[in-house]
Amino acid sequence: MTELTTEFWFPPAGQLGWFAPELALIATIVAVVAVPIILGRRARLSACVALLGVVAALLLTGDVGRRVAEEAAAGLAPPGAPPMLIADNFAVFFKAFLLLFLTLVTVLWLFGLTGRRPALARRFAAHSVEFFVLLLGSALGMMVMVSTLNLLMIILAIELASLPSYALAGYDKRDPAGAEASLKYVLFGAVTAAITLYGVSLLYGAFGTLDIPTIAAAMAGGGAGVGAALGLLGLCVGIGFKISAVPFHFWCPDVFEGATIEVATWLSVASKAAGLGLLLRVVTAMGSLDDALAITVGIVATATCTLANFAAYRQQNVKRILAYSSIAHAGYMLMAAAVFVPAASEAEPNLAASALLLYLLTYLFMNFGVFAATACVEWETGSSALSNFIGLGRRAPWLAVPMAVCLLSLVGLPPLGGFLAKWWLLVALGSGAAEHDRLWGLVLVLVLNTLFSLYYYLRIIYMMFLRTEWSRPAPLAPHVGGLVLVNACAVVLLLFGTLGARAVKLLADEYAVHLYAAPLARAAAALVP
Amino acid sequence: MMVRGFQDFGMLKVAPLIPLAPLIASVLVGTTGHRFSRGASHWPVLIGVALALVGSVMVAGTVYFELPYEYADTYRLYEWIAPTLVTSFTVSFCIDPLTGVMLLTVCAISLLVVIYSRDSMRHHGHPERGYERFFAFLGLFVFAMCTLVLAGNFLLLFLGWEAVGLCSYLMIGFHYDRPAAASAARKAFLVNRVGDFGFGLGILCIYLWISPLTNAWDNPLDYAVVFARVGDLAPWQCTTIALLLFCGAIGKSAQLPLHVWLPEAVEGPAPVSALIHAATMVTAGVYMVARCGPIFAQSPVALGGVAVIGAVTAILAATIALAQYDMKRILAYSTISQLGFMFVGLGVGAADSAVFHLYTHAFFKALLFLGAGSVMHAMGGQMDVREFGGLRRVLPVTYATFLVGGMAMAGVPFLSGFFSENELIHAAFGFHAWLGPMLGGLALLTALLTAFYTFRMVFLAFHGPQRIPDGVDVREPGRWMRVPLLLLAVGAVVAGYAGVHPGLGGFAGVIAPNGSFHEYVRPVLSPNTTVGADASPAVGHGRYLLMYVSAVVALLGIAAAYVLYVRRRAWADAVPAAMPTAHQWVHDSCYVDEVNEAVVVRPLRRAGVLCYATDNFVIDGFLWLITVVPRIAAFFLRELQGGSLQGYGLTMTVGLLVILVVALLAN
Repeated sequence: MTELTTEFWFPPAGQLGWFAPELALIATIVAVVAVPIILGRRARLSACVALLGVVAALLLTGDVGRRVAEEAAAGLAPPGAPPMLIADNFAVFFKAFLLLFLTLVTVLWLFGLTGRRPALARRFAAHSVEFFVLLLGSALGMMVMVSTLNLLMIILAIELASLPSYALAGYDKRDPAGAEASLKYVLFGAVTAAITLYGVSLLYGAFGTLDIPTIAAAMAGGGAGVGAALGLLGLCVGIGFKISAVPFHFWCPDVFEGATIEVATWLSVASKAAGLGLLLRVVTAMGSLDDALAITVGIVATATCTLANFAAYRQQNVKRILAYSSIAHAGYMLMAAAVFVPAASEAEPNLAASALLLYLLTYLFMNFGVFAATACVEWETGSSALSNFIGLGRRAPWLAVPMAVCLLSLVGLPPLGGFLAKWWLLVALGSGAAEHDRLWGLVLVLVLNTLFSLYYYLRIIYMMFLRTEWSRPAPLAPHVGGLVLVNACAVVLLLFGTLGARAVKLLADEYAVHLYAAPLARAAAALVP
Repeated sequence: MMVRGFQDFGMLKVAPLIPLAPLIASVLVGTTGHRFSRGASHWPVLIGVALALVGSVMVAGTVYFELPYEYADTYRLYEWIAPTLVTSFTVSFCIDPLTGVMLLTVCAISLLVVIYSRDSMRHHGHPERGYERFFAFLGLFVFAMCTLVLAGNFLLLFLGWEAVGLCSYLMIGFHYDRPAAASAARKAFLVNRVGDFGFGLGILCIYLWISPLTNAWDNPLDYAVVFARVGDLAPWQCTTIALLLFCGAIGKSAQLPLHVWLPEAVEGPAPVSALIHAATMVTAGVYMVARCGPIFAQSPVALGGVAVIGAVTAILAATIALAQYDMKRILAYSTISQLGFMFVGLGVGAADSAVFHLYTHAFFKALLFLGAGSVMHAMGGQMDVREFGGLRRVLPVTYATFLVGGMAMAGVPFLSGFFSENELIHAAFGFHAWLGPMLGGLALLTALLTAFYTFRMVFLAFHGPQRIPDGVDVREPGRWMRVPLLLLAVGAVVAGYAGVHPGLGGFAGVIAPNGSFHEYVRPVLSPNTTVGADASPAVGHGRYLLMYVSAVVALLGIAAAYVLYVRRRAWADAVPAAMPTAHQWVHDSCYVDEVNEAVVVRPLRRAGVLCYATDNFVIDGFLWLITVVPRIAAFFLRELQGGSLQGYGLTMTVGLLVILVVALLAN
């Protein structure tokens, strides 16, 4: 059992270099605050500074990715101790993913300045500096989340990601719905954080270390007990909150409805991606822990997607429908974490991880497309009620058609990217089921839920194209930038499903190798003796 | 037989361009035409099709000059879900001489038709309504047809097959506000569904029966794989597959009893009839049967069936054509009849001759249809030969070209139709001890009727006293229409010489059959060519004798038409008067429609009522029951998410406890 070093330790520059994207993001936060002091507070300026910083961080991630591929994966580790932060392929993928999404959200925010009606836009632009500090802060937290297996860092990262999100949800403080959503979010976050901390302290108490692989090795050596099991579950509660898994999902619809659409867009993908990345890391590090963890994750996944799909049926607000849709998709992606198929060797792509990465990549575009389309409608009409989408096929065909494409991709219909994402997930589940029969249950759940989800996605499409009103609604002139974003997403989804199918799969495979640098502990003993 | 990449063969790299160029043009015109190009919409499609033609020439040339040709080479372009168990959806091209010939024919005729359409779709210099739509469809059709011809596996073939069917539907119903056009389009689509159902089943059978025989990484629908393995199937399996595939050909190529849609398809604009319903799409069935030769060669029963259906269709359609008055309908029946000829050739094992006839037929039939279109354009939409006559002076170019096309179709010596038709008749005679002479006799009789009805039409429309409907300002068509007519007329004369050895003895001392065309396609078609082997120019004065006989038959038919319709018009009119019932019977297409209605449509409709009832009450009820669960669940879940924080906290705690219990029990 490795003791944690107690003396003060400052990481050398060589090790810090692996985390250049995070450092760039921190510098950007400082710049976002500093630049308005010199040049004056202007919303567009803040956005542009943030955009520059994010793009720079993205480029740095690419550089780190190249180095990770060349040199052995390394991290931020005190001498003789396990790493506090990990820099590997997997982390690079998630960082690039988050930064790419952050770029898109920032662009959407910029478009929102001109897309909204002037009065709303002024209110919206009022606290741009604060907005970007919070947004970049939560992004930083999420980036740390996917690159650590240290309990302390996990707690820190989750909190760093969550605290700004609470404020972001109630960012427009004169909007009562936003304030209420923010409050609910905080309370939920506080309770789950408490449970997580409790779990982590149990783990630390039982094993005397904060390093999960070390804990896994100790468990494998027969050190597992009820306390350890509770501790692990507590940790998973924190992650479950981030990905809004049932029963920790209640905040999600309320926050999405209350927050501005840009914030909802950010939370819908980034928070889930970071949570899933962390979960997959923990699950992989724990090895095949006699199935208890896998079964739990599988059951939570089943509950998550089924309940979310049913709950979406009667909603009248598109943002709420999309909230449930995002919960359901979190459920699908959780299934990937429930498949314990260690790859034949470290160098082989892990099927489940590859499926998850591909799903996330596709999910980014389909979800962003739908959210951006909803944003265009909301900017124009002031709300995202389903009734505002009636006749959109005629009123704004260049918006309605790509939105329908994104929705159909969310359903998972060929030849769109969503189909192949589900397909590869099914392949992973199926190959896992060759060893564990229970995974056939998840296959069934996934297929049935796809069927259930068809209803509410098609309901939006029905409203847009088939429902005719006796009084003809006026044509809509959506924001051009928003249109470009939505159409680009639709095209990307089409490419993912057809010509690019192979390239996307190979990309996901590439980042699903060498899942993590520390030695993989394969526990033989049960979680609970 | 192997799967390759394109990189080995420089010129073949243009192959994807052949379908793509017209597609891009079509999309361009279809999406932006109504706003931007309008009256200039023909240009993008013209350029696209011209590029396709250039590509076809390069591909066909490469196949001819460069390829170390084996058999059915497949070039894989794109696999959908690449590294997986499902490899059956592949975009692969099969490039061989047969493809080359088809590509050249399709693209050349398409280009001429596009040029022709530029003026044909205008009235008094103004573009017709839907002008850009017409050209968008035309480009789409060329794309679909090229995909069909280039396909290297059955799935892609099926896609192309259905896509040309769709284009045909769209084009027949081009004037969708005319009830006749709309109903004809619907009929064409539905009748083709019947055939395509069989075709789809055939492909399914191939997949099911071939895939156990192949390696895991082979696509069981690839031509190369199927043709290599088809010998391992049981004879009854081969027969089933062949007959099911032939069902598709019956529908697409308008053979008995599914030919009923083609005569009505002339409701579409004349260029469409020329391109889709005469020269190219309807020959897709012939192409498919020729392509699947290795399957058909395994089954003598299927081959016999193909030959018999072809012969019966040929004679029946020729008979019906005798009693028609609408020029385009006469031509439609003649197309059915000529397609029947081709199937006779395929059935008796002379696939090379059948493809040769396909190729010559494309020229003269397109010419005849475009000529008829030109007459129609001049007559203000009138097509009934009883309403006008003696047009040869007012429409000299149309007349001259139409006459050349008619002579080629009638089988006048030294024109293209003569060579190919004659080969088919010869092959039919040599087929089988007693079936052969019967088929040959039928074919010869059909040739006589063909010559007769073709020249009946020519004489009725262009000879005799000049009669022009009132209020019609007769003018020779413009340059855009005249040039394709002249080019096709040249084609109708010289195209046949690709398939003979001029100056080597034989017919009339100068024409010997089996020329370079046959040498070109023989590597593909030889495995199922039985006649080709012994039909070298040296063998058989019998063949030359037959050539003299058929030349006499053609001239006899023309002479009879001349006597009846130019010299003694009264005799011609006496025939329907003498046998009113028979004439009516023939005029009404031998009531095949009515038989179909009674045998197929009515039982199907009854079955449809039953299905509807089942769907409405049993299945819908069942689905309603299924949806009850989510709806009840949704109701409760909505209550749960009521917005009260205490409720959320309680539910979360309970959920957490459940998870705990599960996790502990899981051990």
